[in-house]
Amino acid sequence: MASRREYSFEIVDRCEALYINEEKTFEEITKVIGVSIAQVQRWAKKYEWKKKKEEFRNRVSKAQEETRALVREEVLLQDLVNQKNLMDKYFKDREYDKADSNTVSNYINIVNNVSKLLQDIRKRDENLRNMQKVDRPQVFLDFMRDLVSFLKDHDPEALTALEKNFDEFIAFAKAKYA
Amino acid sequence: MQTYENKDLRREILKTLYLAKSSSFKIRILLRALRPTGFSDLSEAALLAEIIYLQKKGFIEVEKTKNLLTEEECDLIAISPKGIDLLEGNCSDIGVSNGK
Repeated sequence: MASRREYSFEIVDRCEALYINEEKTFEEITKVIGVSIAQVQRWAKKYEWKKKKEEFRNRVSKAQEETRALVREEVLLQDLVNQKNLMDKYFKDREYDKADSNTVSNYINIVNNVSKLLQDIRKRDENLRNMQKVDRPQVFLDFMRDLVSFLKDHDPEALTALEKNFDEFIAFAKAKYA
Repeated sequence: MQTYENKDLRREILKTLYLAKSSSFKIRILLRALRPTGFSDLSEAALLAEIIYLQKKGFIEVEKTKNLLTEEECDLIAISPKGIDLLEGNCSDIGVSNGK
């Protein structure tokens, strides 16, 4: 019986990136990388590409929605500030109690809304920055999962050595990357 | 060429006004706020048509106002309580997409 060809982890990673980040189909991956479709399907199942793709899509779509909302809020804020400046000029030579009560009420409303909108923009900006941050613990866990899976297939002795020294290895990684 | 659905545009108009904490805006400001959200080819006339639709349905309020300094007249648009209810999912409408 013919034995299955072994592939480097770089190839598996490249295929995963094509599927998840670049939205390529299995057939397209096969053409680009030159591996069989059955092999790509096996990797997809083993490394849960479908689930990862869904998570990636959700993250991207959330970030896009946040960005769009941020842009909209900034345009609206700019106009509110313009409205406020206009009213500041109007009130400059008038006393508030002698001005039209509707205009005063509008003015107060605009000032309040400028402040609320500014708070929202700051919050959204912060959220977006957090979304763009790399989740280092998750990257580490993913890497460990891949490493264990790789060693299991290619070098069981190394896996045993890793298991024996696991606590020491985690302490070393924490000191270096945490 | 129009590359969007009217129902989606109506929802985006309401969302934009909702984001603004019920403040009122001129149609040109709304147009500027909407264009980067997937409606890059949206014209002022097309937006006005949807504003009239949403106003007739009671989802937005349009108020005629005067520029305090120049006395120039313009329309200010704001979301209504009914529009807020729609966006918050307390009711639905056949003419506005449900955002899913």
